[in-house]
Amino acid sequence: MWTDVLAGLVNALTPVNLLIMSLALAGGIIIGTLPGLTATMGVALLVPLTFAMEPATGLLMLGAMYCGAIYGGANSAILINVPGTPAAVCTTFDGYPLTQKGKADSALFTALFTSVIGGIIGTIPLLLFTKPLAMAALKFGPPEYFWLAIFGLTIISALSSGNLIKGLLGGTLGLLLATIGIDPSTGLSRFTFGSEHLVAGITLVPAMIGFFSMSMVLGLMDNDQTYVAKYEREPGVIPRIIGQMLRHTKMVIFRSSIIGTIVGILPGAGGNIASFIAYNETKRFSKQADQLGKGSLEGIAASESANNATVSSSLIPLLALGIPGSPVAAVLLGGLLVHGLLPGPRLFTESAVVTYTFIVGLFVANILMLFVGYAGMKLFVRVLSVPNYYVAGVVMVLSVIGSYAIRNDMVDVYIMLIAGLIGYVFNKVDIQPGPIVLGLILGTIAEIGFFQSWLIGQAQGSIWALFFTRPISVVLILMTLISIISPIIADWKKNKTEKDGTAA
Amino acid sequence: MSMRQINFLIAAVLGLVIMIFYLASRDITPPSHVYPLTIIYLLGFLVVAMLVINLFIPGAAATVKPFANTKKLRLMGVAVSSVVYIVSIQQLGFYFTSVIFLFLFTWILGGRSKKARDILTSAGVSLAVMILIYLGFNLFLKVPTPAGIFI
Amino acid sequence: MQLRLVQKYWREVFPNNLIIVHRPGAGGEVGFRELARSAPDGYTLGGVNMPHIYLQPLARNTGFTLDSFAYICQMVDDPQVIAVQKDSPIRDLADLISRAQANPGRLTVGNVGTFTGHHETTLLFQHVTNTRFTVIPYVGAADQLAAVRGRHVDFIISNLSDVTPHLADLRVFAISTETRHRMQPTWPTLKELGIPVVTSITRGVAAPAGIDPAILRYYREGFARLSAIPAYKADMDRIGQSFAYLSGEDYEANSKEAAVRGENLFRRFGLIR
Repeated sequence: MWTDVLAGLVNALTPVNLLIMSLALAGGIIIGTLPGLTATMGVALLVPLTFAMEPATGLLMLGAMYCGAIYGGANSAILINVPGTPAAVCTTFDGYPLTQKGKADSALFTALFTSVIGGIIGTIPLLLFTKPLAMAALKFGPPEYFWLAIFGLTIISALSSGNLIKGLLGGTLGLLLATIGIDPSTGLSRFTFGSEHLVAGITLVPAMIGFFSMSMVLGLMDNDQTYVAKYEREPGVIPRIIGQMLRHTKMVIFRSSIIGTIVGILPGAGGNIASFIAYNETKRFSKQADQLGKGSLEGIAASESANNATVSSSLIPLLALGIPGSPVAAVLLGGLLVHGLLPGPRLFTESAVVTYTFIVGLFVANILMLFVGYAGMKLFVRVLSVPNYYVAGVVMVLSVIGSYAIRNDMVDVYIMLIAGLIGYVFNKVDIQPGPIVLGLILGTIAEIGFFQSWLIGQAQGSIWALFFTRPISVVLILMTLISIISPIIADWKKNKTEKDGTAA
Repeated sequence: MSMRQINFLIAAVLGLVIMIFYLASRDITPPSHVYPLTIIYLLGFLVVAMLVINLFIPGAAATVKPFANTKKLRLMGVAVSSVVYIVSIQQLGFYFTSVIFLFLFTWILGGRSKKARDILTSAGVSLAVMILIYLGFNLFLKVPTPAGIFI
Repeated sequence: MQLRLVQKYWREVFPNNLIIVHRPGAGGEVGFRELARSAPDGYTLGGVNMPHIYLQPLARNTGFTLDSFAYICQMVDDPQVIAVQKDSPIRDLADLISRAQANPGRLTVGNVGTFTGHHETTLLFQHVTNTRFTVIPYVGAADQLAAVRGRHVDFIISNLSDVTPHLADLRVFAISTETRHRMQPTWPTLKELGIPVVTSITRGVAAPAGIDPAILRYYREGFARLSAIPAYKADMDRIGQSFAYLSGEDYEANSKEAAVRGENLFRRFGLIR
């Protein structure tokens, strides 16, 4: 194996491959930054270009685009509070407040640095443990996905800094919106109120663009500022951030990357959820938990390292079993097959050179991203020098075309519009968009997991046993309970020490 | 409107939404009705919880007026113009309406300056941005956009 | 994926460019509806699948029916297969049927979606063999195959192109073709095992109905030539797509017959409101 790895390294470092990777990274970062364009779209666009290329080069191009796009979402999340891709939603929580405090440089570079680290950590299992991890991922069945979704929903408590009831309200609303469309258990449509436009449901990305992007536009316009935020150039930001990351934030980065890797391997779960879970866990273990959501670099580190770790880990079940771990991986599957590369053991034996060039290339791509991303940072941060009505106008136009580009359907633009109007109002009254989007994402997973488990449990004689007695499910249930109880205990302890302090 | 009043309003609106969904759910054949109904009931429970808490929140938080500082006229303008913009896309074409929208948006919100230089800046930037978007989206990414009477 | 291959060979037959636009959603429904609604000017074609085109309208208001399209040709005939994970305790098809008859509803079978080809075949199989399974619908082929490989369902009724990449980990009991399939001659057909179920998912190309007959003829001839390109056929084999060309007229006739049978089947199982 190691001779193949070495051969792969040599291949990945050819000038042609390096050039193509850099271009794909740049393209990916731009696509990720622009609200509405997603990684899936970017990779899908590049697949036809790979027909004419060497298989390894083609794959490297797709992989680099994927990496860049998932990182790129952080740029707009930080600068204008709009997640460029769903995976960057958590980055808005701390990124934008930092921009408002004039610390955009710190936020942007933290996002870049932790994305790169996350990507590298996520690629290690791809290189070393592909087969066993993929087999482990197979053990996740409907009950496990259900409990994973429920666990994901407990994160709402972490997201609703302040008003828990309203957070839960938002989350449940998201769950309800997710039920609109085709009932996955029967194939019949429901809650469409006769409109065929709603048959495919409330598309996630336009809704997300609406809740974050358009309501942001409205928000920018209702105050007196001229600029989105003041920008203070921070000289020496790179060494300072790197130092801070290495000294204080090691654990956060490491833990979040591991979380991203694990969640990314699960087919169907994907990068969107990973950053939420990582954020939640960071909040749980952090010594400065109350800083999270107000501009903590830890928050950015958690979100970004997790989502870039999912890039490589979603390829683990793809390469080993032919089962894509995310929608982008599914597009990549198409790319593999067109080149005659069949996933499975043969990929690592007959096509070993191509495969290892690809895997090692992902390491290289992440490192390259440090440079390409930095250039991008310098470029994107200029947006803070543009008067906010220009920013608002352009964001509005981009939101429209971004929503339209998903399915070439004006319905998505209307979904975006309505979500934007409602989102603005809700934001003002303390119903945050984060929980709503989380509910929308997790709703389908929870429901499908639920009814599939119900049916299987019924067939096997005990629904109860299926839901509650499988080992992985039990672990997930415990994690869910801990997730619900630990903030309550933490609060209680905090109040107690305060009381003891004042009493003494 | 104070926060307390707003919370009552939200509860009322959500209550309406819950009713609508509940009625629609009666068509669903069992056992597929379990999940949607659970969500509907959960939402109902939370709305009631919010109502109850709303009656007891401390005075200061209740009287906060979240909309006090909003520039209502400007906001309404932005919202309405966005709606008009999106609705006209299908009739008049995406690029055409976008250029007009961007120009009017930046010019009006920039103070409706009568100076030729400012008007030209708005118009110029709008045109330039849309050309960039056209090149990037239409030619490079091949994303088609609705074309009405114009492009 | 098969359309990507069409794209690869398109230029050998047609002078203009082919742009592929994705319309994800609802098992193809969104795409089918859009195709049906497109102007029949000869510039918009689309991929169509049977039985989806005639089954989906039974479940919901789709905005199209079988008659909304002008059929250019069929390109792929993808038969159903019955498979288990290779270490499954179920020995063979006879074993499967006897277990099912002894414990109705106890065995779980994975399908992709509802009102799809898998679903139709599963219903037909139950009807013909007098068995009852619990059908577990999955969102996509990836989930379905992960489910059977992870032993979360007892067996799956899938199709040839979906199982081909996973054969090392599965045992296929039977295939739903008339005679043994050229790509997998060791698999017995359901028919030869005494179960008269012959079904498949077919994929073809169509234009919106109302297209000028001359343009329709142009495309029919063009696709007939494209389908004959040896390199194209070789590529299709390589990616496991079961290539089977049928002319537009034949495709349409077959589909109409199948539609009537399909509707009766779903009615018999009480799945149509």
